[in-house]
Amino acid sequence: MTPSERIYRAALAAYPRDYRAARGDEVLGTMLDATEARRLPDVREVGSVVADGYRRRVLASVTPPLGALRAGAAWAAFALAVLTAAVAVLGVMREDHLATSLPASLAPSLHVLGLAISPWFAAFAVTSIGALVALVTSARRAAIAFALAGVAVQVWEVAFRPAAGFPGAHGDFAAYAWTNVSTLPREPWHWLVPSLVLAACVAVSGPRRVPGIGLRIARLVVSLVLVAGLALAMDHLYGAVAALGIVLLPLLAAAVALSPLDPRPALACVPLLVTALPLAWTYVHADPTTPAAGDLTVLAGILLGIVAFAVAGTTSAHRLRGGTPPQS
Amino acid sequence: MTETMREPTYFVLAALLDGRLHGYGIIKRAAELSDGRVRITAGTLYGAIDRLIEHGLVAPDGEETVSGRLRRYYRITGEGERVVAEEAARLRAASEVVARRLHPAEAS
Repeated sequence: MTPSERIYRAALAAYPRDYRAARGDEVLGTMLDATEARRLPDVREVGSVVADGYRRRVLASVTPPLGALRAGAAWAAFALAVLTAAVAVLGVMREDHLATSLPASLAPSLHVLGLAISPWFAAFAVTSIGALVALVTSARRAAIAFALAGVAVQVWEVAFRPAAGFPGAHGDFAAYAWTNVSTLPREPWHWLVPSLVLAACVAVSGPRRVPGIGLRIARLVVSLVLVAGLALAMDHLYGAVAALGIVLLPLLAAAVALSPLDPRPALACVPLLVTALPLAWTYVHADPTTPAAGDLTVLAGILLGIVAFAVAGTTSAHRLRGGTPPQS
Repeated sequence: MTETMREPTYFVLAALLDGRLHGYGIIKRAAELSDGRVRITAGTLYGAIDRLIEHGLVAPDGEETVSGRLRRYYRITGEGERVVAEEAARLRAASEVVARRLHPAEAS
């Protein structure tokens, strides 16, 4: 491959993936034919292909009828996945604490690497994190499958969980849900609703689109509401300092969500950081009001955070190489 | 195409009036027709061709691989011939507006 061909091929990455697959070879052939007599690649050719690729990406991102609704549904699905994954991870990692408050049927019965884990929490964590990662990587079918599996796990939990031993009553959903939110991660049965909505949203969400300013503001508002809920819960568990950190991190993510760039990779980092950082904080400072977080739980949280960053990084790089239009 | 036709688009259509051509063939022919003034780059060419196909003025007309390079051919449609003829008439009328004022004797 000549230097010119190598550079021309790189320039073709400016085109959306579908167009590149359909016409890339033809465009490359024409560029090579047109500059055959040159030793060096033609900057004008490269510039024109990059400009044409950018134009096509912008055109591809124009919101069609219902596009805003679909984009909103996709983002709502993502936000719900973020919340549920965060809570699920938190649940797994706090099993030592939960052991004293859970009924026998949910009590930790598996021991993995020194962690006591209940099968129910583990199943929920796997399904919600799976849905989250699938959303981030635009694997819609996998996201739907994970979301539905999460629903099944929750239905199973609700159907078979003993009612005794928890504040609130099974039939009083509002009071029950509020109790759950204020005592996260003890009782997650209200996650059933987010997961159902998640499955529905993913099912109707289409290709990502450039969000309008209204949608971006809506993202900010929803982010703040989610953050406020998490902060309340974390304040309950870890104290004001950890809660402040939890507020700041998602605020950063909300700022990203307001930008025209695809917010999913950045947002994907949040739940795991939310889990890892406060645990690390409480571990380092040995807060006497917080049940001891073992080395392994801190390590696992940090490792999960690194994995989330890696997923986000490869997703972003993939888009830069010419995947879906930035910001779907 | 309701908008004003851009020059590269005009020369793409003009190049295809002599028969079907592949991408580089169009670039070469446009340069010949304009005495080397119009140098269409690949990005400009395919942006124009796709718009012309979308408006039904140009149509794909087969492909072949030469020396490992894919060549797709294009031909002008009847509608394309009509539109480029209209554009030529518009340009001729526009040029005459100026010519009549600069050289009144010749124009009359």
